[in-house]
Amino acid sequence: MSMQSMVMMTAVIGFYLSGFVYLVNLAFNKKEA
Amino acid sequence: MSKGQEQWSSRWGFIAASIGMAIGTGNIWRFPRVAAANGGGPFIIAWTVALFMWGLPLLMAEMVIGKKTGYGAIGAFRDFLGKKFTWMGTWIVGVCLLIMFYYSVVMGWCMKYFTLALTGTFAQNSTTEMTTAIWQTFTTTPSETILFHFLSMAVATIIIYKGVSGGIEKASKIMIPALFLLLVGAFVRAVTLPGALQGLQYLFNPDISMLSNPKIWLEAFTQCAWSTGAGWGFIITYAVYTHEKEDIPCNCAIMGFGNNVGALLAGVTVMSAIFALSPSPEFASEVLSAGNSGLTFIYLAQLFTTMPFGQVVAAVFFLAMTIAALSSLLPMIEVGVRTFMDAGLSRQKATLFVTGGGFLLGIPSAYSLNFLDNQDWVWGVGLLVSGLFVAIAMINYGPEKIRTEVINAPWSDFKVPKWWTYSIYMIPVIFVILTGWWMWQASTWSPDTWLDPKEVFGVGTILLQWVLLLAFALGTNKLLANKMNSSNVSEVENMEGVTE
Repeated sequence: MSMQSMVMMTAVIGFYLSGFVYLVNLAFNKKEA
Repeated sequence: MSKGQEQWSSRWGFIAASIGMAIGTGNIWRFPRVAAANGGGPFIIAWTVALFMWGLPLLMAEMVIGKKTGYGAIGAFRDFLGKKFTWMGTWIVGVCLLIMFYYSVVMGWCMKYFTLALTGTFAQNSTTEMTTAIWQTFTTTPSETILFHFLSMAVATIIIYKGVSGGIEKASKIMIPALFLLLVGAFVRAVTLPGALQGLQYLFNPDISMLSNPKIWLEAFTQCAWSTGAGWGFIITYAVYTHEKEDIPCNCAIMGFGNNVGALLAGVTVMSAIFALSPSPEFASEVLSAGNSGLTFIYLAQLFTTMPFGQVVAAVFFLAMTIAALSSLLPMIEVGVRTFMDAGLSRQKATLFVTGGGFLLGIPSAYSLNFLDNQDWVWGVGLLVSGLFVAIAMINYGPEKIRTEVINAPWSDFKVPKWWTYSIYMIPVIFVILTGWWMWQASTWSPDTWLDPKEVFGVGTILLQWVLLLAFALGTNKLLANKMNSSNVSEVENMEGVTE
């Protein structure tokens, strides 16, 4: 696996996972609707 | 402004059901294949742009419509756009139900393959000839396909019959964590196979110069439109059961991101398994060009038999497929059930009517793969029209007003910037490009018969079936506008209710 692919994979998975975790945290740690 | 008695008992319940709605078989069997065929990394970039330009704007728009009107799609369009436009809601419900008829058959395939994996039907080191024979025997035995279609519909009926919090929410709270656990389990096993990195290299190919190829963008927007559930009428319906002060931006962003995380998990798993287990790169390419059902039920079923504990991995994989299918089948049925409830039926009667009718009208798809393929083609493209109608509802009222007064409510977890408004205005343009491209593609697949309504993947069959649904929707416009419980028509017709 090339270094560029590794960077692309890390960027994509990092973006989505951190985004998802951030949003879930925002929804459930701020208030319960 | 929910008028129904039923409500989600918690925010997590609504979110679990909505993520289940978004994650379907398309995330597992279509995303990896289409991403790999369209450059990998560049496709994922375009698919991410599509999430922000089509998926999230429409999910939020649907939630606005459902939450503020308190009706399923038909009553919601009547109240949001006025009585004359009730037919747009009828189109959305119609397309959703027409997809539900055959989607239950697809869930039946997944259930059947789960049972095959459990009972050890796939012999160690099977060949593709052997798995092709199993697939062909199954799909050409109507008693089998209809039985599993019936079982799928029966499971969904039991859940929907029990209501929103007692059925859909309770089931989703179990199904969604289970689905993610199964996907993570399969993911870990697949990426630790020798040779898995080749698949990841393929999926995350970094050649971003390919972004200049319009086809990649068209495929990415289409995948987003079909996969996120935006524009299907699902969230209009699910939003009916939300609390008045339920947040819109954060909930919809969780749905969109959850959908894409699920797709990436499945993408990494499937691509790693294909490249690690294929005897040659040529074979891996053959697998990727086999289409959704071929990839899943012939090639992956065969490749699983070549690895240690392959039966267990196959069982996990097909169970994940079954759960993904069920969690998407539920909102399809609920869109119909809510409509009949709006017309005055009890949940129990509406459920039996929709699922009973769905079972009967799904039989042709269980009987004939060609029929199912045709329906998938016609109503898959039809969904783009549904998305357009949701955008028109926003544009008619004024997207900027909706953004500032409804979406960015004081209780919202975060405020949506102006990109939402610009995206809503762009959706009609994207619709014209996407639909025109698919029609043009179809004319090149069958240059001599593309206008013939009998051509499975033609333009003629789309036009004929769309006209029939449109004629039904327009012909019943007045009837359905009056039939939906109309206690608040005057209030919302002048749109005062929308921004209250």
